[in-house]
Amino acid sequence: MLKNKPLKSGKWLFLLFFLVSSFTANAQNAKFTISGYIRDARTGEELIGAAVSVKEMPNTGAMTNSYGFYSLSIPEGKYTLVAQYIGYQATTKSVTLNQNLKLDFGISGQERQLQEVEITSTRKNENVVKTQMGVEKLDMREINNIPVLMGEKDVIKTLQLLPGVKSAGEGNGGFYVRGGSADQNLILLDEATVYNASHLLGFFSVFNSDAIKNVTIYKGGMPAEYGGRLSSVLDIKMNDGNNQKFGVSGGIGLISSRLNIEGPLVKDKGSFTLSARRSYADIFLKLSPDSSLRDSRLYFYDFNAKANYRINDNNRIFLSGYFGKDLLGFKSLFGFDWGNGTGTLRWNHLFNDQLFSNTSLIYSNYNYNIDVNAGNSQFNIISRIQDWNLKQDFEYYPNSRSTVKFGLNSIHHKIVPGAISAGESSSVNSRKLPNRYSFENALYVSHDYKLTENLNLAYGLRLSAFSVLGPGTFYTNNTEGEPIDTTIYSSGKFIKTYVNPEPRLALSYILDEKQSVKASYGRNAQYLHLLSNSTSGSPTDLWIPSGTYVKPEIADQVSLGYFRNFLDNNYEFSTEIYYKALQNQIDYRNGAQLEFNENVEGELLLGKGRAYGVEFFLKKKYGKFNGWVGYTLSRSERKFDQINSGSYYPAKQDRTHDVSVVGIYNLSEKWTLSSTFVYYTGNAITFPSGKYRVNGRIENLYTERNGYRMPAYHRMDIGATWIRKKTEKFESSWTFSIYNVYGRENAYIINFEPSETDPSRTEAVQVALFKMVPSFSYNFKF
Amino acid sequence: MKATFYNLNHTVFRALLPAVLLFSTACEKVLDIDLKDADPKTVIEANVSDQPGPYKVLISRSVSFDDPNIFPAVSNAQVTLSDNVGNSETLTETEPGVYVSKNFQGVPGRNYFLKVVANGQEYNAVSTMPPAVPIKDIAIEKFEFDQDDTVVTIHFQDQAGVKNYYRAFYFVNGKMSDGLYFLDDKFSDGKLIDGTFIDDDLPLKSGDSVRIVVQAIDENVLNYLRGEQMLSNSQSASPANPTSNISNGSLGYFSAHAETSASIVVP
Repeated sequence: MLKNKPLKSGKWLFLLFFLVSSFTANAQNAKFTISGYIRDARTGEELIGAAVSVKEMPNTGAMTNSYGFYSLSIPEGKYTLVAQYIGYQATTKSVTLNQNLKLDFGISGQERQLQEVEITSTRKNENVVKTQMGVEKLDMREINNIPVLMGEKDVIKTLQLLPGVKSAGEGNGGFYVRGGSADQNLILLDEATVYNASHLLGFFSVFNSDAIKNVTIYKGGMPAEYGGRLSSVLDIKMNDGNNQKFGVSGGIGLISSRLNIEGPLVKDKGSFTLSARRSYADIFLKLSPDSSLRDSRLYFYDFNAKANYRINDNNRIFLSGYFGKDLLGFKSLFGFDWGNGTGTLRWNHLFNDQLFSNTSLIYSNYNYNIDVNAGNSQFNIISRIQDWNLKQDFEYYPNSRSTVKFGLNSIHHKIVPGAISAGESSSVNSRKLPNRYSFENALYVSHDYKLTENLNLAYGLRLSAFSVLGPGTFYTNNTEGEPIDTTIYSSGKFIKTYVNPEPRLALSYILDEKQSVKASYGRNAQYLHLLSNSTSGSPTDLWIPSGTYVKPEIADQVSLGYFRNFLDNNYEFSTEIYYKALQNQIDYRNGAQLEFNENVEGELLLGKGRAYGVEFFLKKKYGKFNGWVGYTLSRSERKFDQINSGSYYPAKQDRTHDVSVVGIYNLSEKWTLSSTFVYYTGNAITFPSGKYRVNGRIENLYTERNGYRMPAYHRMDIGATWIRKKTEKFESSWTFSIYNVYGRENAYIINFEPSETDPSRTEAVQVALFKMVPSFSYNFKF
Repeated sequence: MKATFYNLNHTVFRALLPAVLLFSTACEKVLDIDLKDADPKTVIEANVSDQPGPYKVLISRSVSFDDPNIFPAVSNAQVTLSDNVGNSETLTETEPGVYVSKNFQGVPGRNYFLKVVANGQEYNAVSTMPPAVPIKDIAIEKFEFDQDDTVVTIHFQDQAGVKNYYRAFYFVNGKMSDGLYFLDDKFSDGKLIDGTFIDDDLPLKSGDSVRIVVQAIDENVLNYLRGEQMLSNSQSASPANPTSNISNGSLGYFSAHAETSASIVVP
């Protein structure tokens, strides 16, 4: 399975044959299709991943797609259909099926959060019966209750509490999935790539949780519709907005304030939502007696906006966008800002009751801008990555045993690595690194098929291609990374094209209604790479495309899992074991110069890697007390000929143990208490193994890469939510939290420096960022 | 990027650090880390300039991190300086690990060779001496980023169309700043270049005598200094020993440089 060679084409013909035969085999009886949408009855928001089941036919059902649509083809007859979604009352409808039928459900959220209700269904064991493994969904209500730094609710910080998803550390917006680096995660906001998901140098994420409807992360066995990154896909969907009535909600916190407005454009047909957030640390800075503080600027803001309109039963359009920025500066001497902007225009079209189509035109941009105006040094630096992306997805529901997805995706990337502009009198020259253009395309097809009552199969193929486009100057480097030749290509020329077939396969076998085993294999290719040679990442880290030297990164992952529910599905347990082989990984030469370097590829080394581990997850989903425990035992290693004499060494993100515990307790109607605890092995890091004197300074002597460990990290946070008032018209609540409640000093960096007390010696000094941080916020809704 | 002698990042973070600290409750603690002991390595620091000698070559060894800051001198080495026009001199050890020239004279434009034989190992290095760069002016100014601080500024003209590399030294009342000041003209070819000098350990007051030395150095020495500067970035994901222009795994560098200097008294 882990061989580098693509599978022989004959095997694919066989799969195709299998795909076709599985439709015809079931097309013998007279069947009709029931299709429609499942919505929240109060807001009209479509629910993603809600289930429709047929009481008379156990094991037959359908799930809503990303747009809340389902389609179910069953024989003529009288049926009772049940629509369900976690945290919602199940709704039942009786139908007589003798023709194709449109059937929409409006289901109501339960008053008490995640309370246990009587549901006579098999769907509470969704985690057991679905084929997909290596996937986690976050419930937005859980996000709202989990305590976080400064009380700033955060999708990404909450995600890091799941097994296999690891925090990159305090002051670092990145996360690591199954031993992969931070740039190997594809972060999508309404299908648009978000290239830098952090605010305030990594302390907060760019996602305003008020604007978010659904968060799903795929850690392995990725469906064929996703591609472009090795480790994970974080798929974030924005709220569509209430199409029943206008509403305003918001919050005031220590770091930022938020405001959200939503309402119908045309009742039942269209709605809009608008969310804004701004931090105001700079306002506190203005009050400071210290002049250098008063003159500093440091804040961020972001907007999320979305509108949708249903033209008729078969056509619907959506327009959504995000714009955010961080600004940092000092007087007029220095300014630094960075941010993402995305836009998505979508058209949902139903060709018929069984064929759903979505067409998206997506724009995505990340840029930073530096202004320096000190002394003779007056200049400005800009850098940007900009995508135009066309996506066409089809979902075909031929019968109740099959779902087929197919489509294509075409992205044009433009990277502006850096451009300096300076005036004549400046001590700096205007200069521009050449833009990089590339074209990323993919075709995919996948088939979810219920082979027998107990055996499900999902298989697919993604065929991706990446072309480096001219104009551009490309260097050929020797083994030392020094240029020996340059080639200049003209505009529009295809300089190099890489093609990768990416097979995806998942199998699940349901042992009984409480337990199942699952297996998956997937190959992923990644064509864009983030160059970041610091422990915490920076807004100026540069994305580079694959080219003549940097090859596409490739990962093959196999995983095996066991899923088991206990005590009437109140407890979910799962364990997954995975092995990942990585090709064309990137590391840096000693002393690499990544900033403003025309021949940055000369600073890079290519090698391989492997990551493997086992994850355990126990979750209590319902009841007054709910929460989870996750534990991961894992290893992630890299191998480069030029590093550590070519032997395997631990990657920075190699974490032997990783534990997270989350508990949420609904004390009463008014109070919810919560607590989280995390523990993980420190990152692998390079420490000195000696010292020497040169230039009158004492310098550290290094002998190997990542030969040491940071101290273990652990921390406990507590939080409480108090619902002060809750009526139909007005709701208000207070959230209190304490981050790092027992004041653990977790190492942020360790400096090896001359001792302050005894200048004749050197010592290791750890800097910790946060001891105990209390915070509160006020939230309202009307 | 660097466009002047002071490190932009350093300055920016100095300006912004208070704001960052406002959010965090940063605290420091000395750790006891069990570090491995690398085998001792030879460290050579050698300089030749266009100024009259004597020129010095310092040879020592590295020690374990937990040892006191006493770096054993390497004695009885054979140290030879030579150039590409046939001059050569064997240096004399005047005190342990310190080797000094007598008549050898550096001239811009020539290539210089260093050969060290110590403890049975031979180390070789080459460095080219560029032409000297005159300092146009020197002044004492208020620091733009913090009006309470005083800085020294200089200007000099970069030669257009050629790659130039510079190193500077900053002395206050004869005491040398231990900061590394270096620059290339990648971003400022042909420009009037400014240098700004500030050292928190050497605050300036009225009457202080200040001297700036600017050396024209070669590319390898600049790369070495850049590598050494990166050692003090504790955020680097891959700290490594600076790339030396001396062979055989020696630490340190060999620099042939032409220098000019300027002095001023703080008013």
